[in-house]
Amino acid sequence: MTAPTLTLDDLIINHTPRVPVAICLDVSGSMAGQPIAELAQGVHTLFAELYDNALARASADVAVVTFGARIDKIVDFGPVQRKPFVQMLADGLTPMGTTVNYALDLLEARKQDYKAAGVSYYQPWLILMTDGAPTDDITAAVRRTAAMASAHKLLVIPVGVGQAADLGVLSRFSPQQRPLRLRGLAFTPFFRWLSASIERVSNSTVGTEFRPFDASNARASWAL
Amino acid sequence: MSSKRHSVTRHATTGWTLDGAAPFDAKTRIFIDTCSLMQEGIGVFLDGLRPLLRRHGLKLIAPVGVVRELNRLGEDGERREAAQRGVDALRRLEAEGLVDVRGEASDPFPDNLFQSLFTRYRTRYRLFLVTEDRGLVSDILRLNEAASVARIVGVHAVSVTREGVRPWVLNSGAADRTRPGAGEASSQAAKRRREGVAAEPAFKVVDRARPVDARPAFTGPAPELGATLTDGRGRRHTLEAELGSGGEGRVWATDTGLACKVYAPGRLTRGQVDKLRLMVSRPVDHPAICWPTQLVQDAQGEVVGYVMRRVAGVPLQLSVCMPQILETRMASWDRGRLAELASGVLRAIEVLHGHNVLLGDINPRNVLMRDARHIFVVDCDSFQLEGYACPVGTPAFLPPHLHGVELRAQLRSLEDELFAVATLMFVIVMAGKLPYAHTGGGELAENVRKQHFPYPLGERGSRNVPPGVWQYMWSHLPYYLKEGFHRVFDRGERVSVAEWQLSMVRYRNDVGKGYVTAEVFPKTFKQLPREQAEAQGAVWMSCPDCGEGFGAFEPWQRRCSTCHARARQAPLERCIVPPPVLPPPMVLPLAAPSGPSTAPRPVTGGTAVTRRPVAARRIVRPAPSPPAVVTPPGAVVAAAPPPQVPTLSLWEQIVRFFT
Repeated sequence: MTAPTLTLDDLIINHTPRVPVAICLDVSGSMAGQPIAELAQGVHTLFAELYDNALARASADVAVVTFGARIDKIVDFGPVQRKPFVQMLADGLTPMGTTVNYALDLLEARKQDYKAAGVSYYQPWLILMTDGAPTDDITAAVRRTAAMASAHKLLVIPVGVGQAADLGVLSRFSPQQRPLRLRGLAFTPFFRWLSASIERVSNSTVGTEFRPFDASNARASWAL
Repeated sequence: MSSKRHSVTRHATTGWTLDGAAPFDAKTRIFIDTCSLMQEGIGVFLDGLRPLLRRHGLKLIAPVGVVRELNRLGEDGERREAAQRGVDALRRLEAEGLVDVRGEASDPFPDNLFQSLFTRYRTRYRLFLVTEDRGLVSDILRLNEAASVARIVGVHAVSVTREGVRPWVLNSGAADRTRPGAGEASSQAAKRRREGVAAEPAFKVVDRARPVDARPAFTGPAPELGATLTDGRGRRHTLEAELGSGGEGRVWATDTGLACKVYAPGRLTRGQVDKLRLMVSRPVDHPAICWPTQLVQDAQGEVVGYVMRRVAGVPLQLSVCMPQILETRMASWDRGRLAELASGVLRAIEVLHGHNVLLGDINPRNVLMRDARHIFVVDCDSFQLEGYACPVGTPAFLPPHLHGVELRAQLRSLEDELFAVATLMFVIVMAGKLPYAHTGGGELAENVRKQHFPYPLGERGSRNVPPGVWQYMWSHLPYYLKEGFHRVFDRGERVSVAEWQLSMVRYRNDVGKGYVTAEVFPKTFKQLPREQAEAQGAVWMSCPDCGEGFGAFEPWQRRCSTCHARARQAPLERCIVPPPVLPPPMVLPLAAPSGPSTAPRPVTGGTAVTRRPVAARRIVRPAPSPPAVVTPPGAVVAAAPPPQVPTLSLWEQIVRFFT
């Protein structure tokens, strides 16, 4: 787990408008073995690609939360590191509701940081990736997410992994955007696509009809 | 003041003026620039100059900045030899008593110095500048045109060539231009006049948007590396290396020394092709504008993009708009250079406006810079001209009423364009900070729509100025710039390009003369010097915190403004959200994995590390106590959600285990 930055210095030094992204990754027991190894590799790809693009590095603000036996914020918001320490343990259940709530709180707190530092930001993103179905109560989290997404205050990117992933549940979190299923274990292509999408939002021009979560675009690289 | 730079050429005559003679007298002053001292012909040049100097009792004047620049270049590998040549030449002249090194270490960069000296002394002396810098020559020679100065003795510029000396001349069309007043700049008539004989506007004024033809021009795969494309003249271009990519397509370097934009399949519409054809048929030729020169076709004969000049530069977004870059790789930059850069950008914008072209999507990604003097406007295919709209926009640079509007069917007005121009001027002098960024703000586009401009001016106090150096930077800006920004961002008025140009030229001179700080990141608020403060009714006091003197205008003032602000500024701390603690899992015999293959292993960077088997890890440790919630002033901390009790049936667990 990265040491949390307790001051807003990073926001004062770098005032580039931010794209806050909270990534929720399912690391329940069923992810054990190759899936979790691929997932960790994918997360590393994400940070390496963000780091190597000057604009993306300045504007991406990414936190990674894993959920399984416990809920861990394994990467905190702050300056993009090229190779953050990522440790994942595939174990436990799928406390999706609690995690999504937590991720929304993190995004909310980060928005307060932006406001305190006077840094502009883009619509926050929530990436929710699971290989199963929730094992806790998701109604509150669903209500919150759906309300924010409908008000264009949140962009939800729901992704199912493997055939056991319940896309029906995922779609409840995302009224606008139909969830997609990852092609095999194409985590690395997914995160590469995510990095490119973050870069494009920070580069965003309105009018080019760029929808970050464009199904055809996603299908070309990682979605079934 | 119009500030379009005219092209200049070395005249064929050898000599100091067009008639070949050297009209020196006691009232002549000759200045030399760094680049000329480094020319191969400098020896020959000086041999010719020496007798002239002796005859009239003159000395060649070299500003300290020039000597400093030569010394610096002497350390640089590539140009060391040339710099050494300049140093040697100066040393010899010094020994002969024929050179005068003038100025102080704090002087501005030589080119700024030349401009301000020539502006000031052109009525009293016959001034000569020896330089190879075309931009500087153009600026200097244009002083001759200024109608307001009736009795100019003469401003001349000469170049050092291998054969000796040759005079610089402004190209034709420059002398009999009429200059529009600053206020007229927006009217079409003024634009026509400004371009004068040199250029009729390339495009007509069209008030209505053309119908959008969004049918794709080609759908096949986009040409890749190594593909050969043919332009309208039959010239073949091979794509050699990718220069960049974006939402619309990719830009390639070609073997013909050009840049080639190739659209992504489906991104190039037929309407866009028509617009590009029109642009190619009436090229706007300007060194700072990467205008499309030819359309290119793939092997199937379909138009897939266009070629343009290839330029080397960094987007402003990744240079002057990033404090981290300004403080490191651009540490030698001062505010004079920022103003010069801004002037260059304005000049390019003025040229385009003169041709009835609006840039539309003005933003720091579409302007590249090589140095303060050389900027390039790219992405010209999105310009608005003759009814073809600019289909894209950047939220921070779009006036509020265009947010959420379908841009490809909407023509922008000059007022819309001037909002983007003002925003660009702001980010250039404020190291990339956006005008509407403020504490307690919201999403970027929301901030623009709210039009809350945080910086103070006169009676209007500051409102939610972002913490950091921004308030210091703002306080050091001269009044005419602050007022310009206030007119646009606070009062919703517009400032013309010509007015901005005037302000930026003035800013550059003021920085050069030391009237305003040259520091890009000043460390304190602007302080009035004692005489000025007292003249304005302040009491001169000594600040108890920093020991510096300051003028107290109000009876309650005890500290200087910087220390006052520091004392009031609470440390900024992050909002912390404690992670939720999950309830202990129900331990079910069935849920325990049986073999080592399913044992969970922590994974770090893609390498799995074997740990204890899962059963041992099922022991629930006491949850770590959540970190204290630190609340920054004014911030709302969202409460951690109460942990949810998993509603999990035995059946679900069994299903989970087997899937």
